[in-house]
Amino acid sequence: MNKISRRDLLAGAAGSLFLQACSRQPAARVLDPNVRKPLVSVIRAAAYTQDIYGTVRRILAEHKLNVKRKRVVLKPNLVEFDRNTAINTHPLLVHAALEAFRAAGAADVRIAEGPGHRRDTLDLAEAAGYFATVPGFEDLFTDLNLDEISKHNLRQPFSKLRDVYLPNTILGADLVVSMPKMKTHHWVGATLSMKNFFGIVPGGVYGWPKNVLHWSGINQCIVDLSSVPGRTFAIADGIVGMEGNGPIQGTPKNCGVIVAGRVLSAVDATCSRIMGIDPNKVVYLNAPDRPHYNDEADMTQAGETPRAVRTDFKLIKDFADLRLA
Amino acid sequence: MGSDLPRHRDTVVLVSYMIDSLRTCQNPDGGWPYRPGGSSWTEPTVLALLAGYASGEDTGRARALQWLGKLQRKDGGWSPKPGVDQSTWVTALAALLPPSDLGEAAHLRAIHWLAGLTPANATLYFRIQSWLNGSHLGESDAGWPWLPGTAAWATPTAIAILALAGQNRRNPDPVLISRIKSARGFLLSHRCPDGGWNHGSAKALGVDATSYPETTGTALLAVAGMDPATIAPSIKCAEAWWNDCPSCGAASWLMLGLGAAGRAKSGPPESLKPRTIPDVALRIIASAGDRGIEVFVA
Repeated sequence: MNKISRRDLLAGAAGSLFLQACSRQPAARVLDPNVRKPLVSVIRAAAYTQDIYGTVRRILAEHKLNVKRKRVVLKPNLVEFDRNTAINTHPLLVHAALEAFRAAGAADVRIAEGPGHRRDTLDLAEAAGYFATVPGFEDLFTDLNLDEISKHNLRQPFSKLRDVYLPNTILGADLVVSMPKMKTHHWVGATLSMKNFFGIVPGGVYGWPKNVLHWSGINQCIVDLSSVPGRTFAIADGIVGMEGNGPIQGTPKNCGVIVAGRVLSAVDATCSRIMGIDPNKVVYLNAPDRPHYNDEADMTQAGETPRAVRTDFKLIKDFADLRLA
Repeated sequence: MGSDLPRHRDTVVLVSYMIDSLRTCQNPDGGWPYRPGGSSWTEPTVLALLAGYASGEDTGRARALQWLGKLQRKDGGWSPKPGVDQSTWVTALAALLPPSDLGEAAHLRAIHWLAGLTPANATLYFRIQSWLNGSHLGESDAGWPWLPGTAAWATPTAIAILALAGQNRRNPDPVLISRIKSARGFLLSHRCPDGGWNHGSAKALGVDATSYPETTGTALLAVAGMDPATIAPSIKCAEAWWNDCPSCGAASWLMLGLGAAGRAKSGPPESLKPRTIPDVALRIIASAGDRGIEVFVA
């Protein structure tokens, strides 16, 4: 029998705490039928080619994002040095977003990330191909682990955190664009645009890893942190994702999609469906007293339907029950 | 920062240039930022001070010590920067400074803070709870966490060992010896199968994890002097990383760790550029090993 690691414990403890919290909280907020359903785009993209540039521009136009004279921060998922797997958000997609937001009139577009394990962020970005793909990358990039910080009080936190120090680059942005890699995750099932916000927590204060988030409840912190930026957008890299024992030790999975939208939980629910994961079983997508978009009918879908591009990602034994029927 | 470096193969010239650049990056308040132009943080300030001791450069030292002195908290610890209301692992870094310069009393309070800090998963309560629920997840060996209330990890454990070991050399104390022994036990039990260390998880869901060069170098410093057979796999792993090192910071930690293990290396490839103030400081500290100056001694 495999010995349980302390990771298992932390994840298990977090899950049970969350479920306890759920039992004390009001049920999920009922969606108001009069409120416009969130738009989520699912666009086929077979490979990381120049076509992505046009695709991202069309996505921004479709979502009518007004970023004129705004400060935009692109938050990719940079985790490890390994260039040969599908750990990090592909730099071509990030560059395509950078160009698209500039073309849309943004005053400033920055790329920012704070990896959870590795401290040499710029070297990691270089190894992941960012320097080679994004001209002037170093001047455009903010290492969120070492950025200037301010204390931020969380409104109606689900986690044990009441406040958190956060990078001023994030707090001062008019729009934060979460650009996750579509991956399975061995603690929470799937890591997508909401979980990607763990990277905004500064390692300079909380360390590497940001273990305070685990002790405060992983699922709860996903909900809390993804609620911090005032205005968000998500562009998920599902062209090649990661299946199995993600987010680091899994294997690449060709999925061939980019998923985008303003409402992060709707984007993540859609990504889950595409991955063959039931969003109704992903704990952080079912937070009490928050709107859920776990059924296809809860949102307006542009481009492909999740069903049409569904590509079941292999799930580890612990999360086998998340499989979408 | 790295793009400004002279392309010179002479380490002495390179290090001299780095000392100059470090001097110019000191903030008016006396501290150092992570990146030029930023506000002062504890970690880069301590590393810059240690680089000063390693190189014999004392310009700005008094101002830096004054800045640090003001930042010490009532509990004896240090926060990562002004405005953060919690003592963290950076206390161990501050405790690496000479007590005579930091202040004997201030230094002792830092040592007490460190010695009294137990990671959340090594407390008696947690261990009993863990035993009762059969999870076997309590840690009998206690390392150090990044901040109180969380689990222990490789880097803060290694730095705290170095700080307590320094204090124990000055004033031998069985409590410190016991704490160091326990922390080394933690490091060894969290060593990756390849012999090195990553952030502190040797396995994830039963799957072996691989080491990182930077944490392997840091942890190797903290276990140097232990039974050679015990640390031989770690030295081998560090040697392997040295030949495939991805960053300047990692190379400096490997130089320090391998140097402490009697496998001194000369400077890393020029292509590895320092990106931050800590990178520059560590490069200076690591290079001082060539002259027999050891800042980190376990």
